[in-house]
Amino acid sequence: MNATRSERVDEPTGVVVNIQHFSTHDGPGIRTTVFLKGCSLRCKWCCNPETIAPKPELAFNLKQCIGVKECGRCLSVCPEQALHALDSDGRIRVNWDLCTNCGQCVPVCPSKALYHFGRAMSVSEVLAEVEQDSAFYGESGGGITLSGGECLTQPVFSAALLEAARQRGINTAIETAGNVPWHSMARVLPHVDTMLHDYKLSDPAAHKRWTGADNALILENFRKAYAQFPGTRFIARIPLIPGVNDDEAHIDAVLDAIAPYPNVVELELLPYHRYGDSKYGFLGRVYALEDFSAPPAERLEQLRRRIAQRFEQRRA
Amino acid sequence: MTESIRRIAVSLGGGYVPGLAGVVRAVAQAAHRRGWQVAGVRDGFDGLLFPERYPDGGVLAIEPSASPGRDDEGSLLGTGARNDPFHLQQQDKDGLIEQVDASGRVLETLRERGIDAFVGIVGGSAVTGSHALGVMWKLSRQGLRCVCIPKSVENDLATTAHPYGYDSVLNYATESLRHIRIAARDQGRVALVEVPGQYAGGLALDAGLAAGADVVLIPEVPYRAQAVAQHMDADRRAALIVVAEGAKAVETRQSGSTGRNGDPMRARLSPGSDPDYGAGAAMIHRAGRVAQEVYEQVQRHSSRELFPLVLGQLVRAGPVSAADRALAAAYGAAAVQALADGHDGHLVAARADRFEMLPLAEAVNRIRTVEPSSPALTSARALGLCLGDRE
Repeated sequence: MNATRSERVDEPTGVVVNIQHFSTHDGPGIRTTVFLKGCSLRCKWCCNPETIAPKPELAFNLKQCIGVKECGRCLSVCPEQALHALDSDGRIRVNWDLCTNCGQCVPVCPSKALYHFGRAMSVSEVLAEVEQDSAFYGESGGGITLSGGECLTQPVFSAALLEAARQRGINTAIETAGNVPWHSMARVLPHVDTMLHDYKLSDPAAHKRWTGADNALILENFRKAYAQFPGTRFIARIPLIPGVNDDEAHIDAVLDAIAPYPNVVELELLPYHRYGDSKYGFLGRVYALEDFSAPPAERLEQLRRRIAQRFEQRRA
Repeated sequence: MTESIRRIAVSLGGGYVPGLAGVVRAVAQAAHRRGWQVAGVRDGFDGLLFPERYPDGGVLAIEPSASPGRDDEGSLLGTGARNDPFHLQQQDKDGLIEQVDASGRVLETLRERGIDAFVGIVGGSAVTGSHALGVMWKLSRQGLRCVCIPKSVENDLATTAHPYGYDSVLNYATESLRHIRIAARDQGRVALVEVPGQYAGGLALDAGLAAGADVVLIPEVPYRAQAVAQHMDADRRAALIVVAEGAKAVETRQSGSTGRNGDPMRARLSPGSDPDYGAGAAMIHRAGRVAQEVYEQVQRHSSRELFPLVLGQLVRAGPVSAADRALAAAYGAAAVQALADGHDGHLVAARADRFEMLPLAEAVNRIRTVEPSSPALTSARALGLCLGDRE
């Protein structure tokens, strides 16, 4: 891995998967979204599988491979014998059991068939990238959003990055699923203007079945956050997966949970999409939810009306 | 001089094939004759990693007379392996989900139980299941005395001519395809049947030839939908298309270019975030997807009525063939002999006339694909069987 070393040795470093410019779905205004690597849940519908593991990891795109006849450079650098050629098409395959994500094959691959999801970046490196968009923040009310993965699995880096952004007058937001120790959330929240957070399922057993962990810690964290950070804007969200959590009972449970807190200003529905499909292939994994489809527009509209009604009642 | 063996363990990698109990029993029988005790680990390494999930024990003592009870064709130990000890998913004390390397725990537990050596009955090249051969190789590098017996549904292990299980699978797949063909022909329709084979089309080709298929599509020979449709339309009695899971259409445009005007930062960090990058080409499909795809493409060009079917994992569900029963006995004896001879970290590979001991380092990643000059492919062409590549 050839991460650029920061000149300031004490500056925290994080593992970043992507920096997306001009996002309009990750908080107010036009934003720059920084996707951090590492997640503390394993949602079966995840559309960003490359953000799950905490360290940079290898991905392989077969279509980009030019084959061992022309190239084959990766075969000689892999110390684990994790790469091999397939006789029938002469292209490389990855034995994912043997790969340790050391990344030695990445710089020698001329066609970027082999590449790393994620690399270590310092606070100032990320800020330099984010500040390129600063002209768009003021007008639109935008700024920086930390997403992931779970950005709170890197609390030291996240807090330092958001604090530095704020010092430069950049509006800050995070996207979190909340399955982290409270001290991690409490460390980051003082530097956050808007916290977007997910209510995935209400039933603890179903939450565990679909995401790998139950929701006790998450709900507790959200309650503490609402109460202890009254000046922060909270936007609750439900990733809507047909057949999993698109029922009225769940929506109502979330509406009940946020009702006592005026700083929870919105409940958004995020319709499930399948943009992540191909990334599973790149990582040598099979998508558990291949047969799921996006929620129909009418259903989405129906549930959105239900939420709007409750918010109107709340205002009245 | 290696220490003498007193107790060995047997375990099965994920993926059921008929009659695995026969291999386990043969290992036990040969070991007992040497005075060794034999233990069986349930469901791959799960019996060692999660003993609490097995009320009657995650590790079972195996007597040579061991019977799996009601069903003679089971595997005794279970092939429900879902966990790779090197990448084990668990919750930490804070409730966060993490992935850990539990291989040390496996070795430690084996030591605690007084197990000196290990026989792994494993596959080697599954794209989606556990690459058990690679896992065994890594454990052997960490000091586990082990030998491996190869098993395969697709005959895709280049290191052995006869992996355990392939003959039974081939017999059952052939019988099923033959019956499907007869029924389809009688109705004047065309059955399009998917069988396993992500990289290697051996099973599709062998079973297709044996069952009298009219078209066989394998990953090694990219097909054109029009060629398949033409073949089916030309012969109204043609009734069976066999498709291997990994079959792919001829690529219409050359890929491999990276000359995009993309954002350099984005490209540097994660080229996969670019929607143009590869356009989902590397998707690993679950069973059934290829049958549906080929069906849609071919039906568009054909006047015949096609219907897609997925034999898929059902090919594992047949009876044990006589050849596999004999192979089970031979593999069991050879594996025990290999341990006694000190062939730690080797694959016991059946050749046409003998067993060969192959270091695991040389056995991993060796996938047998159908070569253009292979007898099966040559005979298929000679018989006028359509492979989808020629008009």
